[in-house]
Amino acid sequence: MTTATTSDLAPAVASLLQDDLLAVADTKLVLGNWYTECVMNGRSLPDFATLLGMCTASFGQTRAIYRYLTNFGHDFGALERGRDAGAIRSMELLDEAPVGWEDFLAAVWLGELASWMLLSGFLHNPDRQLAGLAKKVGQESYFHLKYTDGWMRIIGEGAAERATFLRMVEKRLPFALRWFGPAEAADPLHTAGQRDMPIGKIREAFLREIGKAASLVGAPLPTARPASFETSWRPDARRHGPIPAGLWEVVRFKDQELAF
Amino acid sequence: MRTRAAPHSRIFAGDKDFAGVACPYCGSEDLTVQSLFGGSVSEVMFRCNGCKTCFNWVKWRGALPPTAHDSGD
Repeated sequence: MTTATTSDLAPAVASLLQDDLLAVADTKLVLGNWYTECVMNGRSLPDFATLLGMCTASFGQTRAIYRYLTNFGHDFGALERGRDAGAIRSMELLDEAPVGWEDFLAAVWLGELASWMLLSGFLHNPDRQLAGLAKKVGQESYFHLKYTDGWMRIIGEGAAERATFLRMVEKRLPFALRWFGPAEAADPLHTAGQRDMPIGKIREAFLREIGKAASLVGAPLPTARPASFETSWRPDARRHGPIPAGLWEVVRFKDQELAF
Repeated sequence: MRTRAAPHSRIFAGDKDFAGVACPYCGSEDLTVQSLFGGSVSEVMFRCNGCKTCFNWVKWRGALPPTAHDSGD
């Protein structure tokens, strides 16, 4: 593997790379908060341990990516504590709180898988620090997805639970697909050698992985509808508009004075 | 509504990630997953069906989830 640094990048490429990494980091921030909020909905002691483990790992991944972004001149404190709701770039999939265990599982499974798929595109990045970061996040995501696989198998044993889960996947999946952006022929990050493959190919791989879950739940997963994009689409944030006020209240850094 | 919890031993029977794990006391590979978590989040608790002893096993093997590269068409 060759070694490159962030200073070797053309400004436009560096900007796109930062956008994608911030979208992943902020999605992990929201995922971590989801786990924190939902931990008491676990059904057993192992569920609690799993959710708390996923929570701490997600916050750790968020901070590791924020730390990496300081290579581009970002201030770590500003990234973690100094941004308003409009600056948070989390996946729209996680904007709406879960309405039940099946919805929670559908959302976090799709969120974990989509964020990993996007980050896995940097596994062979010329910057060894970024490639290593992607690998480390992947090693943790492996267990997160293993846990969601187990929960899906359990849900697959009950007809009513399975039907609810499939309905929730159908509701959430378009938001996960939207995160990968409009299907465009060219991917500047891939062209610049920063992403291993075009984002459109990663999106296709994500959909294939969704389909494979049929063997876990015992039924075909809903077919993906084409993602729609409004004029408020923010390609740099991979989302429309700011995060909802209610979500911001959950994820915002609350005790800034205690952090120093 | 909450779904019922299923025993880990059944859900994770034959799991490829646990292939090759052996009891540190008697060496038997006839094991049951007692809990996905042992003394810490990074450990799995097994029960040996041979010598009936429980032991913790560190589950970290550095595996990655499927990537776009290895997700088959």
